[in-house]
Amino acid sequence: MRLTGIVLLLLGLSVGIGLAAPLVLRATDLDLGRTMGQYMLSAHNVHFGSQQDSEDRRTLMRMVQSTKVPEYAFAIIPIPLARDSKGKVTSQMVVLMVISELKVPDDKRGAVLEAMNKLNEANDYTHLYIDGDGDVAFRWALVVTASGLPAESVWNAYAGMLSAWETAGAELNKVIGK
Amino acid sequence: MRLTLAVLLIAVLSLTVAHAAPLTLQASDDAMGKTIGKFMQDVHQISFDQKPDKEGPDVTLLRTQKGGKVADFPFVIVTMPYAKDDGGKVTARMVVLMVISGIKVPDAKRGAVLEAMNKLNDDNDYTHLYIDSDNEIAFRWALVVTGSGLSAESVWDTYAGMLPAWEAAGEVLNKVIGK
Repeated sequence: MRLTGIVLLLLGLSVGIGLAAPLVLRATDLDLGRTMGQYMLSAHNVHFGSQQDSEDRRTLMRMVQSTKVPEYAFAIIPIPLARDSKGKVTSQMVVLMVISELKVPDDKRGAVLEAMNKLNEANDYTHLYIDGDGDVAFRWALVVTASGLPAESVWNAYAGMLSAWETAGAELNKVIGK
Repeated sequence: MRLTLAVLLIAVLSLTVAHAAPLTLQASDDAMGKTIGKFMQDVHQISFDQKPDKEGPDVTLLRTQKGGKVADFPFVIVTMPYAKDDGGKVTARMVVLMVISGIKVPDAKRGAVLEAMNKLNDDNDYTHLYIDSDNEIAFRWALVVTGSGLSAESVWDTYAGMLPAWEAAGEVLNKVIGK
């Protein structure tokens, strides 16, 4: 009877630890956008709007205000990355991006590319480029493998990118002459 | 007695599942390079040389990668503290994976290389290319191990993703340079 009690206590503790464990995102979660949105709100009190695309993928979006750069949109987009032979998703990419709408004039393109190169070298967290529309883009991607990814990693990337964009955006605005 | 046996069985099964669980890297691990090196060897049979850090117990992982479309290149994995709490305890750690290309960019080709890199950085989520201060092409990716940990498989996944990405990028950039 005493043994049963001890084992039950151990099991109870295991369940308790399991319940308190951090949220892990799963590659098999077909509504990862919703899961991440709920986590951002419940764990960090940050609200993202959401939008479903034609393939039922939910993109998270929020406007961010800053004193150093103009207001900008921040998007988080989950994308299936790999599937098994039966078509089941085995890994997903979580793309985090700043939609800067900062246009690069043709005569400043060379200078902006040089400035971006310096920023890309200086910061591990920075992945800057000029997109096909001639706008400055800033992106980071995380992969949800079969082993999962802590939801806190998405928060961490989001928070790291906000400060990185403040620095990079201010620098690039200067180069462009804004 | 039967209840005890059933509960014991469940407990043993739980322990077995816990042992089979994937390895999670912990931000507090101040020898994370060693942990990653062992994981790469044990789980994926990929061996990295270990270069001890001058300060601290950690190592830098290094291996020479055979290039198919590009020259052989060293691949490095370095871990470093990223955030600390008020007591100086590491609360987040960065894992930086990088290709040391050894490809020098001539001044006359710098503009064209920056344009080509920009396109590659735009086309591929996994690509973070730049010209370093020695005028060499660098290719890097970083992962952050937060207080919630990070699956060691993520490091493998990044490493495995970077190899073909570098082969593709290196081939394009070599052409731009004229090699």
